[in-house]
Amino acid sequence: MEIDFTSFIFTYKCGVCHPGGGAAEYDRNGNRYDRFAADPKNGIIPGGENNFDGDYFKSNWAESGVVEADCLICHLKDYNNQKRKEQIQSFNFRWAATVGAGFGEVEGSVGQGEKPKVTYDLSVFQKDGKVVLPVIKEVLNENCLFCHRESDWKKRGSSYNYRTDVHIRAGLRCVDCHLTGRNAEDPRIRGREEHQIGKGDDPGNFVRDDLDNTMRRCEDCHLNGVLNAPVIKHQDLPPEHLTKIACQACHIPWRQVKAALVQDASVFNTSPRIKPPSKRIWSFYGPDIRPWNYYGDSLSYPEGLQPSFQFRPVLGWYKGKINPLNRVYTLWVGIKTKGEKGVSQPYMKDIFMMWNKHMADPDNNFPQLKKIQDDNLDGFPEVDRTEEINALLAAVRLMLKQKEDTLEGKEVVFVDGDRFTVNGFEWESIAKKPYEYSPYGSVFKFNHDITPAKNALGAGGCRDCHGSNSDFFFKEIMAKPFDGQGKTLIEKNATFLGYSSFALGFMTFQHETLKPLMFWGFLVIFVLLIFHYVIFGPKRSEQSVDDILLLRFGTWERVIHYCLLVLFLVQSITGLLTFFAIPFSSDTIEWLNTIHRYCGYLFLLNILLVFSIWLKDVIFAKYDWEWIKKFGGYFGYCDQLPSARFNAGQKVFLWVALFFAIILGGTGLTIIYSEDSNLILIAYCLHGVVAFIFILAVMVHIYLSTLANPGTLMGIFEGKVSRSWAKKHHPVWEAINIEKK
Amino acid sequence: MKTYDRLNRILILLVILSFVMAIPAFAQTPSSDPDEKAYEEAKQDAMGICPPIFLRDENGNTINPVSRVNADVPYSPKQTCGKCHDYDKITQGYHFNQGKGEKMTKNFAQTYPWCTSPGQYGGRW
Repeated sequence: MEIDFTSFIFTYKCGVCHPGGGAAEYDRNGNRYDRFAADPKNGIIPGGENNFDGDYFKSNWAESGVVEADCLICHLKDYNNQKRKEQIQSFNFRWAATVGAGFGEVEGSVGQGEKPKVTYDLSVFQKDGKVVLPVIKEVLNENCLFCHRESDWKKRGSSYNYRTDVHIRAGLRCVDCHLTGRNAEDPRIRGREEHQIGKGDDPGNFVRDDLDNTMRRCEDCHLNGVLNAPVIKHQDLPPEHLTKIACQACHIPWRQVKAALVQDASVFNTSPRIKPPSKRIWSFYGPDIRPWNYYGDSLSYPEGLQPSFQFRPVLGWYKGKINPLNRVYTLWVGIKTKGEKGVSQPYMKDIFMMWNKHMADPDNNFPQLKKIQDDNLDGFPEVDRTEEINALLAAVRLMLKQKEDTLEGKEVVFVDGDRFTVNGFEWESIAKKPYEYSPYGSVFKFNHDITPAKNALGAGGCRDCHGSNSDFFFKEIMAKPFDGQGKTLIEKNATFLGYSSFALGFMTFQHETLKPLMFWGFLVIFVLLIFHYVIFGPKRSEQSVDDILLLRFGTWERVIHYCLLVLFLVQSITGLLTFFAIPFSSDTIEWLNTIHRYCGYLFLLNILLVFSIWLKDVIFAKYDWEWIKKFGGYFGYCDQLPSARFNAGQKVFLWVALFFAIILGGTGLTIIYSEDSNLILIAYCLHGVVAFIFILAVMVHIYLSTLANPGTLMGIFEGKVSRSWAKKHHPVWEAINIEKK
Repeated sequence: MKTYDRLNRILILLVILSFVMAIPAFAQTPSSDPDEKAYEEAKQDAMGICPPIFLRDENGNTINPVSRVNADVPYSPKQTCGKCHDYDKITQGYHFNQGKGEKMTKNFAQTYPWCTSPGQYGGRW
């Protein structure tokens, strides 16, 4: 039996970034490692198995000491982190802080069985033996990046660079957003000497999730001007974008350095400059789904100067908002215990030794592994075909057997993303979150390396995202790295976001076709009406001496029609302003939307009311067909045409208006209340199309009610029309009214 | 004379009594009541920066390389900085603990059966 990763080894390997304290200082029972190990009554044997206690297995705490929390790693300018690392890597845990702070030098290594000797640098000390420390309360970026620069590159793709981040370019410090102590604004972390550093909310991290979102948010500075941040107005951006899309989605339209997309732990990486050698069990693929020698790159490039690689981040839903995400796809060999959830894994060092032996003598050591080939000729082999999967599984089973590891109740499985198999052709799914490739593959939100506002998505207009060639919806993203034949399976980002091609068709039509069509449509109709007036002129009635006035519309009818007129104008203006994204601020657009919504309810109610009072007058009669055949006399026919209170054209208009109002109401309610994103896209487009046609129809209606038929306005505003007008335009209605008189 | 002597005796008694009553005040050790702690903190805040300090080893002993006292042992951040700053409170920070002692959610525990905390001790690639 053995333990692959103990607290002692954790401190040795991971203490180079961890600031000390916690598990680098105390065991799980709260004992300080070195004192507990040094106390004879505890019976800890240096280097011994020590009852397979993971805190003391094969450890040497009494000699190495512990790594206490080192305040100066953060709070001292010019702290020498490299020297600290060297001490920790020599198992000189106790001495690391002394060297890192520059107090002195250390000779000797616990790891070499020596007793380290410290020599203090007297130039650091005053005559009285005290030191004066230029301690900086608000940690400098350089100190944060001791640890975060490299660790945040591989899968988070962070660069933290002037070249890539507008905040760093503006001189912002990490602590300006990641507040802590008495500077923190969130009560969960605010307090004297509180060291819960304000953090965001990362899908891939689970430590202290109760402290998620304790850091400054974008809005804190960019709405209130804190730290002289430019205050955003989001001109011409409809406000629902701000509720559904995270700031990062638009303000990180491009990433500038790679982030690992695939971590393949099923093959052996023979790329150069991978240290330590055990890391060869991981092969990475970049966002272009091509092999990426991450470890080689991280050694080859000076700190902070990662090689450039521009790509569009994948957009996905996380907690109700669209965020740019890096999801890591994983391929690995696991151990499944029957009847239990979850998949564990063999010791990685055993997998490494298996491959190492095979590479040394492929024909004799685990020869099955020779079947694993580079089918897609991209430079890395991949375990993809059934034969390859079975070869790998057989090799791992053999390796475990040779180690005399019992597999009772367990199976060796190959895990490919969110599924696993024991034989390469029967697969079982693993439950995962919608934004994950697998629960065993981390997902990170892109939060840093923000681009300037003028480069954000939408700065070029709505079609940056809503156009048919926009990357927001239509860029290709990886669904699976290998499809069983070594080829990559691709899907559109829209599919990952849950949008259908059908709905997106409506969206692109709205933005690419309907908008220009509307603009030209209004202009064309306007010109055509002018032409009509010039060519055909108005339909004037012949006035006679005894031209009495007839009651056309009662008071109630006129009031309802006035309301309809006003509401239609309000709806048209507010709708068109937001539809054409006139450059108002988001707040103004929200205000217009609110008016549009509430007036919409009133408009629908009003039109139903109009219809109810005029229902009997809009029923078609046989003679209406004659009116329609002659186009109402508007194209040259001068004689009288049969018409009741409303002519056929007006009847059609009223029915169409009712129909349009119902569609507008239905699509409007869908936009407001639906949770289905696809339905909302379709509704927006239909709403726009119907509104367009409705406005055109009303333009014609207004023309016909004014210039084309003089005397008509008097009827709707005063309620009365002349008998001659009635005889000309509505002879059937005129005859009925005269008979009544 | 008798009266004078009596007055002297009373005066001496009063002086002795005053002295006896003052002893507790002189003998008073620094208490840890909240007011005193707040005052200590206020003084630290007033200073604003670290004053010149002695480095201290793991056992709290002074290190003075100038006078070669205890100058062959490494310094201890806990004993040195911890003289004025609340080391235990500070190291509650998640940068130090990284999930140590945190309870896992049921889903986390089932998905990563080898983990005993939500920290980055393995779990996800």
